[in-house]
Amino acid sequence: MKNPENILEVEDLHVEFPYKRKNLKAVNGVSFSMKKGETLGFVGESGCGKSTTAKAVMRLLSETAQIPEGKITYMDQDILALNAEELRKIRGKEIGMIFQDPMTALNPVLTIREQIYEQFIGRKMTKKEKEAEAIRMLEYVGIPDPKARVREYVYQFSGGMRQRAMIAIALAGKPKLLIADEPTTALDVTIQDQVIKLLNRLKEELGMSVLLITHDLGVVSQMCDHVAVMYAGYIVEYADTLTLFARPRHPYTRGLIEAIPGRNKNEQPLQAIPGSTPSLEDLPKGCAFADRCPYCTDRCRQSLPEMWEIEPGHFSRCHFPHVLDDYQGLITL
Amino acid sequence: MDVINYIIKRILQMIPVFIIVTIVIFFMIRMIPGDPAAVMLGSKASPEAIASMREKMGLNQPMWTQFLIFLKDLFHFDLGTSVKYNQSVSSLVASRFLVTAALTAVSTVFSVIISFILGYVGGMKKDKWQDQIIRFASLFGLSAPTFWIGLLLLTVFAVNLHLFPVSGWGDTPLDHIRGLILPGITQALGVSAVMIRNLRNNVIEIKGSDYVEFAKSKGLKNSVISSRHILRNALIPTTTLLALKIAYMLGGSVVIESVFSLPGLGALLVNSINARDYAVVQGVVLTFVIMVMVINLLTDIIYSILDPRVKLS
Amino acid sequence: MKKIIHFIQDNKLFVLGIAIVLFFLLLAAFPGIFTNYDPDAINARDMLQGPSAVHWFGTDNYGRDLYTRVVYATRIDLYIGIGAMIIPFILGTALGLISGYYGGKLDSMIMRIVDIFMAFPYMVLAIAIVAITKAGINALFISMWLVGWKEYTRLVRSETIVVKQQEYVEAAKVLGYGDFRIIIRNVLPNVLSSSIVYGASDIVMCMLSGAAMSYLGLGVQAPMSEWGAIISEGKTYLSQAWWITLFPGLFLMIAGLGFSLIGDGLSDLLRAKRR
Repeated sequence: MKNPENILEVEDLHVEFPYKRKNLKAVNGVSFSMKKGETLGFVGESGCGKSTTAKAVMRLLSETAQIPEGKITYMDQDILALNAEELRKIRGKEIGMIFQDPMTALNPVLTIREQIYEQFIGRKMTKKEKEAEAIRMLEYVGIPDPKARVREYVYQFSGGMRQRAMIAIALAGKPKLLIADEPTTALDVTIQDQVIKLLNRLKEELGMSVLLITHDLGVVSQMCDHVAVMYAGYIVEYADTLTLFARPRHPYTRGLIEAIPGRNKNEQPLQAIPGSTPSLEDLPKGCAFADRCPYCTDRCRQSLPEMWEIEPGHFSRCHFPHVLDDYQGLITL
Repeated sequence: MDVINYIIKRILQMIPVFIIVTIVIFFMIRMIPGDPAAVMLGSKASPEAIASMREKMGLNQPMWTQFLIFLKDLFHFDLGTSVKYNQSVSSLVASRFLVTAALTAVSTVFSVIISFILGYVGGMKKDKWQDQIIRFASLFGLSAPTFWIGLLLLTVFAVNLHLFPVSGWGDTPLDHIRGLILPGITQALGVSAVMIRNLRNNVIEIKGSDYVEFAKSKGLKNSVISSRHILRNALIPTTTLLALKIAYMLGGSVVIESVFSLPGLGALLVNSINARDYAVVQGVVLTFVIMVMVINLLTDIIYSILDPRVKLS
Repeated sequence: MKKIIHFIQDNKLFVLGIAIVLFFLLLAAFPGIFTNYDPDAINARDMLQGPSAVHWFGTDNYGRDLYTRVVYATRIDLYIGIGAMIIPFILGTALGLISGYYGGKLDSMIMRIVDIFMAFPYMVLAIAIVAITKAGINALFISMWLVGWKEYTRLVRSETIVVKQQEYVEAAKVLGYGDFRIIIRNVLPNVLSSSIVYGASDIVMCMLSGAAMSYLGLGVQAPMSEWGAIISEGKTYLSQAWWITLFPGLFLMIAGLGFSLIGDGLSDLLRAKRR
């Protein structure tokens, strides 16, 4: 590890998927690191590569995925160099993952208990110990009547409870890093709140590091220490949460912030970002956001911007990050 | 016990359908041109015999009375007498029942083995050479006539290689089993093609599902993921299909028993139709219907064991 | 032009299926192109001869050229396959639409009738119906029509139920369109594709069942020649003249293969379109 305080370091990651006769470039030169105990959020619209990046950390990508370049280091281990058995040791026990849709993310024909027990494989535990631990997990995530619930099937749980159950199952493996792929997207707003609180508790009480994927800036503001904004497979901006909202320095980030409903008290119409994302098989040689950027120039179309460090810890992938110097971001949401 | 209650409930539910089916069978005989009594007794019957049969069937009475007589006879297992064999239909059916049941059972076992293994392998190795071969072979299995395959297998393995008896049933239980292998495989081949596809598609779909990904993220071994997560779920819809196919193979006995000279209900049915032995036709069709109903009941029970979401209600 | 080539490259099996079916249709329509012999020409001297340059598929027990008989029989088998499928396809789909769309008592009644038909195994019901009518090609059609419709009804009904709940159907209702119009223009097109795909496999099923019943002597009657019937004639000579059994079956299988490939290809194409 370059920095002993870091739990995860990703350098210049590229992920491609062959499609028909071309290659989809889903992740393009993504680099970031996470400190132990921090929550890092990846934001962006669908297809920007945030999920792919997260799955790459656990090597959970489909068989067709190719990683032509990049290095992923977790606690001094080179993830991309691990063999199958070493990888299995890390999955679930060091790095855990929870998924977006609790309706489909749990096996419908197994009880919750059986699915928790799967995390205990390899540990020497008696039957009683296993059951006690399973009940404890359900209790921790706030599922009422855990003794009875643990023997039930997924279909008997409500949506919010299923998400908690999934978190309980992931927790049972005692991971140090939890990857949460859009954990709140499929939930009602009130339940979203509960899940966010639960995830924050994990950080505070257990010192869990959380890699959060979401398209919802509201969730980001409630959970994350740092944020990486992704667009068309590139990280376009990176900063701590407060700075990102107060002083965004990439036109795309600005666009996202403007699109938050109820952002300011004046009754201004919602600003959508005109245009659409470029197709990943034909990425432009210049800045991927050029066509939709109100500040776009010829230079933007011709050459790919690098990540500039605008102020310590705040990066922007833009040729002209200072166009937004006067922009009034958000202090609170 | 839950299961026993369920069985009783299902039997009660099946009764209306069964009654309508018996009505259908009842009318089938009366749709044949001519006097139903004469039809049942055959062309060589004497006028006195026909008259007394008319009396027995109640042909001079209103239709619903006739139907009640029919039902009454049914409950006494009196299905009439075979003109051709000069035996009671029920004894004929009883003597041949085992053959057809055994044939269907053997066919089911073979088709389960073939399709579950190949369907699973095909799905897991999607688009690789194993999958290509399996899909290719299934296409031929789908399109080939079962009786033809049976004849070919018979020629190669029985007539030429003398591995199996040419004429099916034999005398000892061992003979019986030997005699059922070729016909069992023949039927299984025809039916497996569809089941292989079904299972393969299920496996492919489930392989890409969220809960399989979640299982992978827990660091589970491939064998655990394959059996507990993929196969367990993939088999559920295939089992439903299997039930349909078992009923289909039961009907296939009509053809296969003829090809392999097995003395079962299917062969009996074909011979009776050719001989215009309608009492037997009636009895055999009824027997088949009952067998299908039993098969459906059993599969529903097995299905509810496999899928905890489905309650026996 | 390039699009056609790309299409063929991407859908090789589908195109192969079409080619096979077209070939068989050609055989059925113009058997004379493919053979000079007379299918009924009896020739005692040439009885039971194996395949040779003169008789590509050998001869049967009457000395007739087997290849010619098989080619001429194509017409009957294809006729049975398509004819036995088309009525259940139309009627079954219509019933499925009505049953699924209207629901309620009408649906229960139709499904009850389906249940009754499902109590009989396919072949058993088919030959029982043949027993009642007289054996022959018409009996074949009637029996297969009666046995075949229920699958379409079940399939179309379940798809209709799903489509019915889609918002565009609700939107049409809100706009005040009549039921008939909604069914025909909004529901049917979405449901038709699975019906057609099933139909392709049903053609195969009908051909095979028709051949099986003819094999048993309950279908096509002499002097009509049909592949299953020819195989039946061959069974007495199984050990001496295997060619009588082999070749008609081969034709059946390949014709079936053609339709199956078309069904598969259609299914893939329609699935890709839906994405």
